[in-house]
Amino acid sequence: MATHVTTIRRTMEFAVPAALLAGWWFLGQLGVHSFYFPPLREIWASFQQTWLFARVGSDVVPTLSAIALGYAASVVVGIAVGVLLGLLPRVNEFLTPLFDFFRALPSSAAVPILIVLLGVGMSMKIAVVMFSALWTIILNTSDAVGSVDPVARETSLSYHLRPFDRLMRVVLPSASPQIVAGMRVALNQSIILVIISEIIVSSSGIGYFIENAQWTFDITGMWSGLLLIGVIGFALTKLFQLVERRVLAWHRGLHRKAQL
Amino acid sequence: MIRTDEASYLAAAPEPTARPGVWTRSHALRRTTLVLFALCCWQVGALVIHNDVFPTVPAFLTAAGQDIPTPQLWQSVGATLAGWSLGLLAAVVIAVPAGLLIGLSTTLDVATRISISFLQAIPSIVLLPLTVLVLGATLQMKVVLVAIAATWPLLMHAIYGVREVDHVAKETAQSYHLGRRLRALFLYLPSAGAFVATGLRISATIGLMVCIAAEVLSSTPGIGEQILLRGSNGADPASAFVYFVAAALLGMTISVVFRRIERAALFWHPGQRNRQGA
Repeated sequence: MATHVTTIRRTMEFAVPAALLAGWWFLGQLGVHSFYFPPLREIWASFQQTWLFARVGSDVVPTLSAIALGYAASVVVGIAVGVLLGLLPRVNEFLTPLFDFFRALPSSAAVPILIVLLGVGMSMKIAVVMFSALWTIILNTSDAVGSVDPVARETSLSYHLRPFDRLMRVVLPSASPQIVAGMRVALNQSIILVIISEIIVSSSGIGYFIENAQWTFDITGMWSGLLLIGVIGFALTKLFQLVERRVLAWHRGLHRKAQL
Repeated sequence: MIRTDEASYLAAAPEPTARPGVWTRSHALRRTTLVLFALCCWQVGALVIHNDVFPTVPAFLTAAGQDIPTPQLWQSVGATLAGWSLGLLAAVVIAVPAGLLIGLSTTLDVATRISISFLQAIPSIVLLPLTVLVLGATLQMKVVLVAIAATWPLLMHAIYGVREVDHVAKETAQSYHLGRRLRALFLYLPSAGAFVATGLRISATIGLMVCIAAEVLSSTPGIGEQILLRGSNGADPASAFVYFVAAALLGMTISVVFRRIERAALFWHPGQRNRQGA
């Protein structure tokens, strides 16, 4: 009985979104659509024409590489600064409100200024991503490194582990769940900020394509770009979850044991 | 049944451990030192970069002295706040009841799972060209965009809040035969309320980000529009910085206020009690 219910639910999990898409498709076929909300069939045709794979090299690659580079830079710098701060509690306590301030400010407000400072191009996009993603990673890392279990820390000290070993084997593993939580938030921000900077000023990228489609009233093209960004955002989130599950497998296992 | 899709919004950030509301003299002294330290870094940075765009601290203060008395600055702040607050309100009205409903029903939860995790992955700012075409560069456009962006964290947290009601508490309520009303009041409300408060804080921050982004991208009146106007043509970069700092202070105020609300909603939580004791 219970498995029967589970099977029905499993089916529903996929059936409902499929039904929604089918509904959108058939509404379009029946003639229910407007200028701004074109039928799904046309959007799909435009999607195939544009993104499979005509503009992949010219627009998708610049966007994805800006996200990847900006995100990678934020993660590397953020973890390095965060670890350093976490190991220096007094400095950390002093500087945390400043990083908190930068995290709380709406990063979109910085985009026009960064554009004027750095011009149009990859370095600007990377700076924009870092300006929004860095602070969360720094704060999560410094907080996690600062609150490593005192017993573990003192044990490693009394066993005279070398500082490097202590960092790699005790501090970083115990801080990793919280660091990863910060990285997850930062990934979302990276995607958003790259798109914003591309819409404001750029000569390539998916954001640029969407903005261009708006100006030329290519509504179906605009929707296809929207769909693509949805797919990319969804795929990156799923990818992150996969990596997280792999990297933090020990953490989950430990927690399950603790709960038993 | 723990699902990890919504995790992108949960466990977002460490909370500052300082006790709110306690403002000692050494605290104030440290904050003042930090502000002075930040200003020194700014000045050194400006002198090193040395271009027309990045103002030195004195240039910035002069521009601030000129801009702060003008009605333009306050009108921009007001326009941004209007779009942000109305959008956030709309999101609360839509997302909280919907989230509670989905959280209470396993069937609804399963049925909406994939659609929600797909939709929330779309950065709402990509809807801007569409909303501008349909609604124009207006307040309504900002409200719609902020509402869409702010809906997802609230929805996720409302769903989560209902579903994550403590098992022991649930069984205790069952064995005491608490009626529907009492269970709603003492079982679901505290848990869901705390989660919704966290969602509200995240939504408020994202909402402000999106509101200013919409102003920058579509030249709708507000702080974002002014930053773009003053910054991009190299017209008056120091003044663009004044507006940028205004946006930053707005963001910080919103973050502080909503963190207080969150703390108040979490009054019953053991972790919160420990934190206050520490």
